[in-house]
Amino acid sequence: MKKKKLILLITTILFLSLTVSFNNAEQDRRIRRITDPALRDIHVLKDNSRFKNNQQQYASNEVLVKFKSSLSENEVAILIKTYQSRTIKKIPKLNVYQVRIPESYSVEEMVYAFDRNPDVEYAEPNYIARITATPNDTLFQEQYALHNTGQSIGVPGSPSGTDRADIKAPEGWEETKGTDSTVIAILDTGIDLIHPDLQSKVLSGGRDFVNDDFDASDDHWHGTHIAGIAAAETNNTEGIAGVAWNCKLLPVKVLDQDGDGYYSWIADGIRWATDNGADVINMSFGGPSEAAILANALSYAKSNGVVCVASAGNEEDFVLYPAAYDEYCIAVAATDYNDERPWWSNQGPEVDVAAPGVRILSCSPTWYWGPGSFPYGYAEGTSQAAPHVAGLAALIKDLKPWLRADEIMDIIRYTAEDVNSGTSPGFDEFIGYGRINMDRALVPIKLATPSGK
Amino acid sequence: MNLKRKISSAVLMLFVFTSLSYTQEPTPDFSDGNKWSAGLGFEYFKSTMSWDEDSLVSPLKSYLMTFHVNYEILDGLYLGGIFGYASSDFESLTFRELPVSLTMDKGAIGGILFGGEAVFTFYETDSFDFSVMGQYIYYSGGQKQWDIPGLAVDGTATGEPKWSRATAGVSFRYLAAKPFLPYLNIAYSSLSGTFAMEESIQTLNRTEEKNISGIGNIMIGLGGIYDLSDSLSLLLEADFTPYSGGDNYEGGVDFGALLRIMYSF
Repeated sequence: MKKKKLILLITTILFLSLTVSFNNAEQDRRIRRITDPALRDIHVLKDNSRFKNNQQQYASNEVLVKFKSSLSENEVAILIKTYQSRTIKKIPKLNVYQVRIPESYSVEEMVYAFDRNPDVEYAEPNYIARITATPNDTLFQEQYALHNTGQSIGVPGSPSGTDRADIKAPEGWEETKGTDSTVIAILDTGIDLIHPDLQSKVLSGGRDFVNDDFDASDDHWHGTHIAGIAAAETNNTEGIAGVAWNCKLLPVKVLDQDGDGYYSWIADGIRWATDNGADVINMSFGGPSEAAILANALSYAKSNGVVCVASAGNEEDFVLYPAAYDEYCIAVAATDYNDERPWWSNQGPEVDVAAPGVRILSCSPTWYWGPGSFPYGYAEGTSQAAPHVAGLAALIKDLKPWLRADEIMDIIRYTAEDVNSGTSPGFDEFIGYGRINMDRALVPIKLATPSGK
Repeated sequence: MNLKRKISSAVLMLFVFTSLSYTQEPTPDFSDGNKWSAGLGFEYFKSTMSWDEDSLVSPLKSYLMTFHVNYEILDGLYLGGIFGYASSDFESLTFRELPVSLTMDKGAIGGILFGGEAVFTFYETDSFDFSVMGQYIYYSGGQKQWDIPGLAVDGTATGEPKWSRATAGVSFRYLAAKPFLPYLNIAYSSLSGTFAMEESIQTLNRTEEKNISGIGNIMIGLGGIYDLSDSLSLLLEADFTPYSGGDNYEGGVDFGALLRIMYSF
């Protein structure tokens, strides 16, 4: 009987030990040439982005150990066993063992333990390398709108921004960079089709409703600048990064060389873009009058699943059309490098969201500054704010193609960051729901707090 | 994949019941003449689940509190009913088809469970016996609501999980150390279920239902039964379910444990 009780006791202890051990073209601010040679240099991007800090740095249950060459394989096996570990694999030639450690010990403890053994040459965690979502474009660090580190905005002597007063682009890119199957139509003055940061992103020669042909080349500068913000070629070790990293651009010229365009051109442009593969239409322009032709064209686009984004205007006045068509467009106001609204950004109940529109660096036509010049420059206005939103809309559309246009518009609105909550909490006529946030709009949100209902 | 597992488990269950006709030896009467038994059980298991067409995995951790009623319908054949409560934690399960993507952090969802089990001893000697066994458990979780953090407007997410587990296999029991009876189980276990997540953010309202299934199927159980008295017995078991790695995850071993106290009458 005592023997049986002893067996029961041993089994119970064994069992318990196992259980204990888991935004108008007319009013755009000046485009400024970059004169500082330093900005032309290819900078080495720092890889100290905050968003990286929460990620796992190394394998949680294994270490890499290199034993002294004098040890036989049998001796190594015995040694590993004494650390209550087991070999996962041996990397040939390097003679490094990938070792599974016991769950009850941390990687740091095991690395320390192995390192103290005189038969061990070195022991270290099995670190994790990742494809970085920080693009290698040489001017990326000047793009505070995408990733604001509090850097100087422009040439030396320029003001500096507020850390993280940005649209959280790198965080959003961790979830998706889009694909070339998603197209952003740029209804504007055209696009410089041979710009080094745009030529590979342009889907075709587009459509020119001003000259009625199929060559939507830019004879102003505005459209090229807008296109670059939305979807310049990214991670090409050159120029800037576009919000919609991998998405394509469709040039549609509806504004002439002075930046003016008839509503008929614009309506035709919306219809043409919708019929020619556009998923998102960006309209960085506006007029003070509403018109049925414009509303009809926008309704046509929306009913075909196209998301329309328009700039609110820069007159310190009411919201212009088409942005004021609340049902069909996302109206975009501007914020700056401190997440503050510039005085000139139009306001009204039609404003949905805001995006950076002050001192925005983007592409300028290759002919603009003269032969051999650097084809980039700064500009500001709600024109520059809108393509940030258009880029985000394209990424959402690409990630979730089953969503309707109105759903995508609502995602952008509801995931915005209420950056003026201190003075105007909640939805307001200045920046709508807030400055867009790519992290919230694209990356899964953690559900942690039960509502208690 | 799920269908294949369901078919496999159905075949094994069929084997359990058809094997009745192959009885060769009378089964030992451990109930001392009692046909009925009832008892309480507590179980924990961690099962690595795959979802999104097996491309991703996450752990399902569950605690089960059960009430059992068994009846010896034929000599050596025990049929039983299981009723109870379970608390399941679907950590890291991610819903990317919703307008705003959501991912589960820690947080268990309670719900009811019910099911049945059968054990048939088909061969025995003085020192050991062999049995075939089968168990089916269905869990229906209650709705749980979360506030979606970080939005410009109020938004809620409501989750409702369901899972079922079918297990069938053989058991080898050592009888010579009575009243302590150590045993070894080798079973095929299939765990599958759904998790419906409804998102409601102003005008945005969608539901995503995710199919989940356990990636480990062969379960090895080590345990023992201790007869505390003629009518009272205690059962302790530890289960191990190994699973192989996939393109996006490594292999490993899932663990489970159960404790049951039964009263015969």
